[in-house]
Amino acid sequence: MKKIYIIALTLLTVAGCKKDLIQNPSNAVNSNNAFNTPADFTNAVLGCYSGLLSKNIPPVNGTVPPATYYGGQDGGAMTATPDVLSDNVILNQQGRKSEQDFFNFKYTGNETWDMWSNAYVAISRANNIIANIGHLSSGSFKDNIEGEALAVRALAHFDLLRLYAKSYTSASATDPGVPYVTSTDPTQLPARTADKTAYDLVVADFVKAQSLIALDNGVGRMNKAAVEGLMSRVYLYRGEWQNCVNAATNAIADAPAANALAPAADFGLIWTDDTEEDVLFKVKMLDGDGIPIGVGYEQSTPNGVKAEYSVAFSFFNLYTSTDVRGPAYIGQSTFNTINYNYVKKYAGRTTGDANVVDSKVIRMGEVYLNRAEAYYNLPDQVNALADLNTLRANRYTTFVPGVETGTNLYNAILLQRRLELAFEGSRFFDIKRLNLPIQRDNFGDNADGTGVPASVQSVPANSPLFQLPIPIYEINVNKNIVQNPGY
Amino acid sequence: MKKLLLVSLGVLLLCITEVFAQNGTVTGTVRGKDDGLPLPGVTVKVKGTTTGVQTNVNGQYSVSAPAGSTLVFSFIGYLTQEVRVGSGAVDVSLEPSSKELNEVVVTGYQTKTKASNTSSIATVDPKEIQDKPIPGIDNLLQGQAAGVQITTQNGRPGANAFIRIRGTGSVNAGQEPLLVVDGVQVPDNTAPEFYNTLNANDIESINVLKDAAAASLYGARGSNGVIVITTKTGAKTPNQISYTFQYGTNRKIPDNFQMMDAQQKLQYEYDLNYQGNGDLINYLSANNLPTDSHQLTQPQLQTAFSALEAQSHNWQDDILRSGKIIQHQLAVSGHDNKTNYYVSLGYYSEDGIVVGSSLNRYSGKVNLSTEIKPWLSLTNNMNLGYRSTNETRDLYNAQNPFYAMYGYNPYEKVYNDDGTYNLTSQGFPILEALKNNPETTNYLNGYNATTLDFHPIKGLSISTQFGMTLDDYTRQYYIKPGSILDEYIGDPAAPGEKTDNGSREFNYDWVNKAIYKFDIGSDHHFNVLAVQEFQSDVFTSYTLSSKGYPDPNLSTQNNAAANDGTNSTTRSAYTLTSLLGEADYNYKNKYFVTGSIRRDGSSRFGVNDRYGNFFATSAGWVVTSEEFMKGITWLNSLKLRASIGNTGNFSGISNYQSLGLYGFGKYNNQSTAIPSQLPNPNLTWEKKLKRNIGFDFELFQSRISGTFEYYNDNTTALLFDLPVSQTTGFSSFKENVGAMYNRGIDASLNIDIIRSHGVRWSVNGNINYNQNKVTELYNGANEIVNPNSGYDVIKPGYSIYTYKIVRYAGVNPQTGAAQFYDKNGKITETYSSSDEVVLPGKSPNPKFYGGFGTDVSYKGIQLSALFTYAYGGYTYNNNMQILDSWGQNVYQNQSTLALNYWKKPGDVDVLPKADQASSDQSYLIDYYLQKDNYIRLKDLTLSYTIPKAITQKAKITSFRIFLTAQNLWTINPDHFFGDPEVGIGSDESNLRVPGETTLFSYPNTRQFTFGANVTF
Repeated sequence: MKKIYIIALTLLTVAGCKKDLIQNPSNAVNSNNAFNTPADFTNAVLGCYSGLLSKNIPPVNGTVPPATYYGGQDGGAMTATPDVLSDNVILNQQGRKSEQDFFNFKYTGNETWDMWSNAYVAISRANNIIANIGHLSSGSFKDNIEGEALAVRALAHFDLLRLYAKSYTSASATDPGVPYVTSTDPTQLPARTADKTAYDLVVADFVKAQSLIALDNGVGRMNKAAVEGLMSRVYLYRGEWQNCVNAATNAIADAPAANALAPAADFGLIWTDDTEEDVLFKVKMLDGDGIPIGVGYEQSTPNGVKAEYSVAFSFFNLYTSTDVRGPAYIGQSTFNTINYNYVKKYAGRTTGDANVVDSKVIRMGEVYLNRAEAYYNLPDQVNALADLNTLRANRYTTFVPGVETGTNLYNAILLQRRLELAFEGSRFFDIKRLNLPIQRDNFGDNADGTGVPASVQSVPANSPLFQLPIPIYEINVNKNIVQNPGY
Repeated sequence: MKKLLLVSLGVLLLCITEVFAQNGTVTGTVRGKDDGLPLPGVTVKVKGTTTGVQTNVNGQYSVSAPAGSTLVFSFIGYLTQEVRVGSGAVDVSLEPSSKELNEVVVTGYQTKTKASNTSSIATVDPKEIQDKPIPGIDNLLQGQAAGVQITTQNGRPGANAFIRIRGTGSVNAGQEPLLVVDGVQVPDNTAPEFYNTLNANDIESINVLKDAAAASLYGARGSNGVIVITTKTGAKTPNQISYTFQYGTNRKIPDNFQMMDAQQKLQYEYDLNYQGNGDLINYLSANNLPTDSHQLTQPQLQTAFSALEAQSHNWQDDILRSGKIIQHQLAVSGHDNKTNYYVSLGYYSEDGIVVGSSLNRYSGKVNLSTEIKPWLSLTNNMNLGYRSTNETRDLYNAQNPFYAMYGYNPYEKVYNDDGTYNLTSQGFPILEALKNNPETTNYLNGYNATTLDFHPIKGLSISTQFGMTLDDYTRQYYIKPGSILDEYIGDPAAPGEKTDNGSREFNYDWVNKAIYKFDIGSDHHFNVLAVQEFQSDVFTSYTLSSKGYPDPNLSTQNNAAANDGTNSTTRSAYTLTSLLGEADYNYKNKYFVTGSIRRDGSSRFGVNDRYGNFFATSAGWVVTSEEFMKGITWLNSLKLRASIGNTGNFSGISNYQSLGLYGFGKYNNQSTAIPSQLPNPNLTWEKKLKRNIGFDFELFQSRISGTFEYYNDNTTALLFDLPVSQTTGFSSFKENVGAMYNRGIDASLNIDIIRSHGVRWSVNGNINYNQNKVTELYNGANEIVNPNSGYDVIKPGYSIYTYKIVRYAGVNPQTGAAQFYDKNGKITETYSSSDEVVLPGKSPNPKFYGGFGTDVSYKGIQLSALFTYAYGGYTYNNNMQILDSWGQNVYQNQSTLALNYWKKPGDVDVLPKADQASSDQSYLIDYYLQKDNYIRLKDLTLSYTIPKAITQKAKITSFRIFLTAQNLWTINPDHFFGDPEVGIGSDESNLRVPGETTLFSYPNTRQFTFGANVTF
């Protein structure tokens, strides 16, 4: 009988393990409990910015896709690809040839700049906040959170429109933009919102954000001046000059003193994150994030800098010796006996990991240039010249105010825009919004203009190549999405 | 369970008496009737008592037995013989038994004779995998069993193999079988490590459970089949010590393609007007010549080329090496009346084919079993292994030596004139990296299974087994301060970066089980199994990273100046609770029926679908046991059998997959909360209905034996990452949708051609023919592109991973332009990914695979050969695309095939016009889709056992010396560019579909070893 007891005891010990079948993760909370406290909302808003940084992107079939947005590196990046797609840089023959399919305008739906998925991640994080915003009691905290979420949503949609859709000024009323997503439904298969409609929604979100958001969130988060600065950009793209002027004026007025236009002496400090002058909003990147955004342009080696792209020879020559932006943006190095001009704008801080530096999204320099261009078009050449001179006074060590008028003034504004925003993800979009062709020089990649010239010298204005292909993943899943022509 | 208790209670009330009698001593010698040699280890028992001994090495025994009693001689592989004790010695000659009768199959819950087995279980003879210079048991199974497809992942020391039993049965859940060792179910994640740590020489049996009747015993874990391994005991060996030593070399298998030499490469660069050759430019500027090579005169050019050719060398010679393999094994085993033991120690060391690649393994095992009481026995099986490896990078760039050995230009020097490493045009000195960026891993893993077995009455066994598995993994990756890589990616203010990461998975598996065997009358035989089981698994991991190291020799984290901010730990757990019952019935050992049911509940799945029931049934008919067959003497055995049942697949799914989650990260060193997973409360395991019919036969005194089976496995509720529009912020969520099937034939055959005393010659072979087809995806989905590679699709009506790429239409002979077929089959010179088409019949999955071999022995000399083969699969050959480019890859070295490009109108059978700026190279076209058929002489072993007459003088039981060669010869009938046995494409790029692609993964290697085994 003793044996039976032993057996029975054994079996009884193991019975009753049903509750062991409920296991909960150690690194996540259930979605139903994600938006309870104000701290939850702060965390979620910061999650939007890490979305802009392309961090914690959900894996595709177990594989985390490459970062391609403001935290992108060499597989498509807001800091580099719009310059690669332009006349600012030339493929360095001794580089790793990253992004050369962009440089050669050979992208396909399989191999495109997949900013699509990254930007919509940021949008969905913002939408989840907006969907749950009712959990917060009314007040400035709630307003600010909602304002930040709206601003991120608007910015990400605007970036998508710039990349995948026709320029606002060239699009017809029915030309497709990108889906303007405001729902958190995981089963949605949205069609492309009409280009002009989507731009309207961008404006609407920014306008609402402007009314809600705080002034003092700091430059690592969206803030009122940043929203207004971005609005001046959006209005400029839309060709709405007075709105642009107003937004820019607001941004200049609302920007904290610490973020005012950087004087020439401080300009270089912006790129090592030693000053927040000039910066209205930047995505913060720390060494621990492991996102060296500068590698899209260069990596330094004991034998010199190995550049992915050289600065295009004739563009390089546009930086005069008194222009503080030249030394801030461009370095010269010999690699394997060949001398190059390389982009050092994102080479890193004075201490810390190489190529890790904050990604600047909107700066005061641009706001002045936006307003100058808008004034010119209003037309108000006096104020346009005034803004242009304000900028130039802060960019040249010895500067005598210019007196340009007419086309000369317009060209000077565009020249300063190109010089100011070089390697900052603007050039391709500026050419596109102005409905101009891309025209590269015939020089090579070496510092003296020798070397291998670009194989594609020009892209005609309004070519289908200006609308990048929508990633094939989306096309396959979402039958409501129409691919851009030419892919 | 209550019934079982009642049964045991009832039976216990019966009295058992033992008879004791007066004993005398009987001695004798036991020999084999087939060859007349003495048989050691034969069990000699006095019938009706517990008295028993085993024969010694000379086949002699001595047992005390009363006169008139009966001795029972039993030995595996021979028919049991009973002899009545008369006066004097009792010498017997045992007759070899028909194979089927003596072989057993092990399901992990119990052991059955092969004769009574009605399910599809392949057994592998453990002798076939002993003494090989390959550490992983998974690799050693290649070609050994029908329907078990083993693909070597790559040639890295300690690389695992892909195991697919009867085709690929899942898309996104696990595709590997469950591993059960000594009754312990090994967690799926850690099974690869167990294959590597178990010592092949410790293995007693390997059984592969293929059909439902066998695999559905494992319910939700059985769908991909089960590999059941048992390890040796001392029960059947005399007390002995066995030592094996092995020494050899390890080299890359030679290529079938030629890289350009310096002269060819320089001319190629010149012809393509490539102006980026730094060495050339350097030379030209040092000699005050124009740096544009096309401005040089012919003599100038030739002088410059000669200067570069003078410094040329073959990078393979500099990067590769011949590695060394050393193996020591010591096994001690034996038994007395109540206790048996098996203890082993192993050491294995293998140098990889490059510096910075090596493996060291230490393993120890103790199997102990003792009879505590006549009705109670205790068994403890323990295995512990420690493995450390040095690793190289496995990705497509200059950090990978196996890309570098092809990609670096031959005229680029290893060292600069000042002795520093030459960065080369790749900007990275691979030989420096192999030294200064060391990556080491350590694995400590093992299991312990403790079993208490009550057997209160005849036929009843009630046991409880507590099994634990532990897998501990640590990895160190050190970018030494001052290394070139550190200059590239490090922090100049805090040089050097060190990462320590690792994980631990602890699992326990408590199995309570009762087996009752009983007969009703003499014709009705029953075997009933009941199991209750609970498993719990906890996985933890950590990552530490810091920078700022003062000295390249100091690598522990406490030397660092700054934390990288990436430190983290994780934890994840699952539980599984199960009930299982199985009943076997056979009538006169002629008709067999088996049925089983299992109920599993797992924490992994959604609250709505947490439990599942799994059934299986099978039947067998031994035709040769029928009266009407008695006259047919050439047919020794014929058994027909069939089975049907369902199984599940819960592997490959993360533990909290059914929950909607918000995860956490950081931004600017502050917490972020982000939606990380979409919920699915209905998530459950994949379901597989398996059907199997087949027959086993033995002919002509069992000279010919074999098995033939047809199976039809239908998987439904496939777990898919259901793609969602990325506009939702997600790419996919897990859902049970879709279906696929695997249908095919497994056949194996063994023929003993010569079976005489001196000479034995046998041949054997096995084949699997498998047809895989995806039959259903989710609503509206026409196909899923495999996101890791982008080349292939999961598409209803097609085999899994069928390629979908643009078809190449050759070169326009007039212009040299590359031509493609568009979607509609029209020729175009414009490549567009929208012209990709699914290529029916072209997938990485072979149509046939298997192995065949032969064993010849003459006296003590034995030669055995094992060939493996695969036919009908295709590989997308990236290596070829990169090394045989159309000009775009002119900056790196190229195969000489790249020289054959279009040069003038009318050129045919050429590559397109070489154009260095062309991006065609990045296009996916079927030109690079190659047949990867092969037959490979996987193993060739020659051994010699010194005659016992000689060794016995030195008190040595046996002494054997042997030579082995692995991968000695390969037939590559379709001229695959590279090695046609393709496993991993690129580990770090996650190209892990077996045979799908090549991308400079670690090449397969060839070993030659010499060894000796001595047993005392």
